[in-house]
Amino acid sequence: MDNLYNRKKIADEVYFTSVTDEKFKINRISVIFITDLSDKASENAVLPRLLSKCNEELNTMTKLNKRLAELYSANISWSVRADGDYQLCELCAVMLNNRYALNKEDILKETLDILLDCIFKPYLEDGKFSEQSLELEKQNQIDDNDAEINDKTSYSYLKAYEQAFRGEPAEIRWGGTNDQVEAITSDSIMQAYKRMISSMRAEIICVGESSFDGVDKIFEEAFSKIERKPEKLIETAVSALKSEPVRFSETLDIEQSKLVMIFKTPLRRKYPLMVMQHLYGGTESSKLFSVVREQMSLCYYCFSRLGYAKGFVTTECGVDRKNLERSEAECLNQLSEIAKGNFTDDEIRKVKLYIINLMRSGLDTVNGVASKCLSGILYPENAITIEEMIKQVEAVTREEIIEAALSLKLDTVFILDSDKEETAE
Amino acid sequence: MKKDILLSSRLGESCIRIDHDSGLRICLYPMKGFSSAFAIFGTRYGSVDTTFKTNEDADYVTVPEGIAHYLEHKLFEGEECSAFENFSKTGAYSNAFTSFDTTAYHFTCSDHFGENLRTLLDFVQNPYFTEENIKKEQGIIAQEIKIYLDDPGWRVFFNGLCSVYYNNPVRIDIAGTVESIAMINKELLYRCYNTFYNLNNMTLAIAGNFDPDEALKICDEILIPSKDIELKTIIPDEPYEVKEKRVSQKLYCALPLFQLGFKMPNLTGKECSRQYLTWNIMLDSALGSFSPFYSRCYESGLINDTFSAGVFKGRGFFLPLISGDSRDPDKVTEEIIKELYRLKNDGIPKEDFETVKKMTYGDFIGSFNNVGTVAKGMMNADFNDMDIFENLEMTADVTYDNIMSTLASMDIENNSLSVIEPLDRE
Repeated sequence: MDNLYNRKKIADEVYFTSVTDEKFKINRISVIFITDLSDKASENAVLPRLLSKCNEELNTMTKLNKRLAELYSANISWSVRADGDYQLCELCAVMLNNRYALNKEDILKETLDILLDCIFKPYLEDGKFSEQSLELEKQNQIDDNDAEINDKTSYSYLKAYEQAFRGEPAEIRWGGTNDQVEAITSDSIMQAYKRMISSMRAEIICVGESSFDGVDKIFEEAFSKIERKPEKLIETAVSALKSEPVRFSETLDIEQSKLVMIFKTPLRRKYPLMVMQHLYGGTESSKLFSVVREQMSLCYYCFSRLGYAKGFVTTECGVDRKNLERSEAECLNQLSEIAKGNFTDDEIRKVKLYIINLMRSGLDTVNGVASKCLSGILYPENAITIEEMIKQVEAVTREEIIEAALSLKLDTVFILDSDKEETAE
Repeated sequence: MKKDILLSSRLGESCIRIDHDSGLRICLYPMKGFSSAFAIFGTRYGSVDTTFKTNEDADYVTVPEGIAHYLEHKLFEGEECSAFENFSKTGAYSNAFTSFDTTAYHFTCSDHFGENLRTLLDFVQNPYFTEENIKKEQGIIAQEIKIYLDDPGWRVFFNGLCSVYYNNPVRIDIAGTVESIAMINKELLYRCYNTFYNLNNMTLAIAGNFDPDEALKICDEILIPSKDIELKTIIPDEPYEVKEKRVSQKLYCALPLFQLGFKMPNLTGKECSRQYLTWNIMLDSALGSFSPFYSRCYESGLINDTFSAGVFKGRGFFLPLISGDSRDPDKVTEEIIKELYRLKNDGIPKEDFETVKKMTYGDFIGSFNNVGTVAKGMMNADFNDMDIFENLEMTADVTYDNIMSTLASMDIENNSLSVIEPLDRE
């Protein structure tokens, strides 16, 4: 990881980063196109679905899947996600190291070629994506958008998140809206494709046992055939606090209610916020878990998360509806206890050790290493090594934790209410 | 103490298997270059184990549903402080789970390994149950039960198990019911603990960055020898046919969810593992991502990326399951059945079978990339009377004839469909 930030530019706003670690038995090569969240979000979301299914040479899903299976279960996957005010559109190839090939196949090179073809030589009919495939993937995107309701915990979080960042790019969902998906045409998706490869910033991140020698040149050559006109990315902005907290709710025929509170902070010091948030609700010894869940038995889950780029901390609980008010009051009370300095030095020490453990363990998976790279690329404050991050965590003081807690102001409260009457326990 | 070094020539790696004098099986897999270690201490005890006896019991005893899971929750609570608190002193991440046939406690750490291993071995061997702390847990577990009642993925699965089985306890929710957990008391918890948390019924598996000598030294110091109590559990007899052909429920979800189960007799030990691999290779060849069936159904919009086919297995159950989201679960079922009959007659293409074998090999090698997966893999293999490398050799041994005779023996009509239909939000 020490050479993490020796990434190199291989084309206009196209960068190549590689991390070699011999402990891994697989290699991961991902291409991430980065753009601002906008009304183009739906097109950008449907595109990777189309690109990952086939390409000019392997022109059906069956052919592509079969070839990948023959390469010892190599995999090409897509993902689209929102991160701060950005939309990240990723195509990722994961493959076994060549040394495990039973017939001396060059698994890395062959899988890389398929990935490159998916991105740069998509399967087109008369210069356009197949109408049938487009309609299918549009429907799949709509189904994914609608499927938010399947998981009530994340549904509640997304509802609160959308409200908290109303009027900012971050309010836009990773897949846009169903109306926008429905409006996509074969012409608009082709324009979106051209925009993706010519205008969006691209980050290529390789992690694995391989030295990835020559992979940078292959990408460089591929991008050299594209006339690049990069768009300027808007830096993710810290969100302003609402003049009054917004409370809203939705009632559904469900067994368990959910409570989500979003607090905002103007504080731009990541590590004090991180330590404070873990002390509040990030570990099994945190205030939310040990007091609200374990001691008071108020809810089954109760945790918090930090979104540093946008400047927020959440509280999230799954709770019997009769305990909603008490849970909310107690979660607020626990935050206020931290702001008053009612925590011990031993609690600080434990939380710091927990964070350090997480940071180090994160480097034990290819996904963890790739995610660390991307985070440093997107947000300059993360562009330091794990050991430097650990030093920053260790340096956080009691006063800074209190300051971080005091900086949080309630912005949004969402309740997903169960319409069930209380049941006996 | 008996110590074996197990080698895998395909991986070029080895692990250590120890039969410790205390009665415990210990599996150790140091992994070079990794920062963290993952240790898991598990017992062959899950939600299906509601009827059991030992050589000290005159007859079988039946306990309330959900007790294995309840016990898992309570074991974390020590007399002076909780195990969570002890792990937090070193910054380790700790957790536990109860499945149908296993309960296990684990931690991950990148430092203070010895201290954490001591905590793990200590709290699992020293239960502290009081009527008061048992009662307190009822509220939390009742909430946990409720969270799953709203989860369409969980409900389609359990409704499916209930529609396949008449008597098999796998049909009961792992956490039990609000009513069954109300019957749990201190005596029952101690009875189950003393029966199933016997070291002869348990395995400790550790993988990653740790020193095996240090781990063994700590085991020697802390493990309390257990006498083999000849534990026996009963899985009730089960009629051959599925209980119901189709069940459905309405919940909030985007698309209908379906699960199609094909009822099979139970299998145990290595034969269960061998059949598991054979069935999975057969199902992947027949219905997997490059099969004509998959392509036809995906391209017509009948299935999407959520489609999967595989075997759900454990001690006392073996059930091939096909599941996913679909606008028309009944039509998918019809297509699956039609395709399985077609392949019974025409045969699965040999080339596809060979490709799926390569896939299985690749997936298996790839799984040795993560300390948690390796440690859990060692424990699960041990619970199936195998070692972690045997699956790889078994995969190599699966033949085309094996998968075709598996398909030939499949009773395609003995199936049950579980569906979750979207509940209207207006």
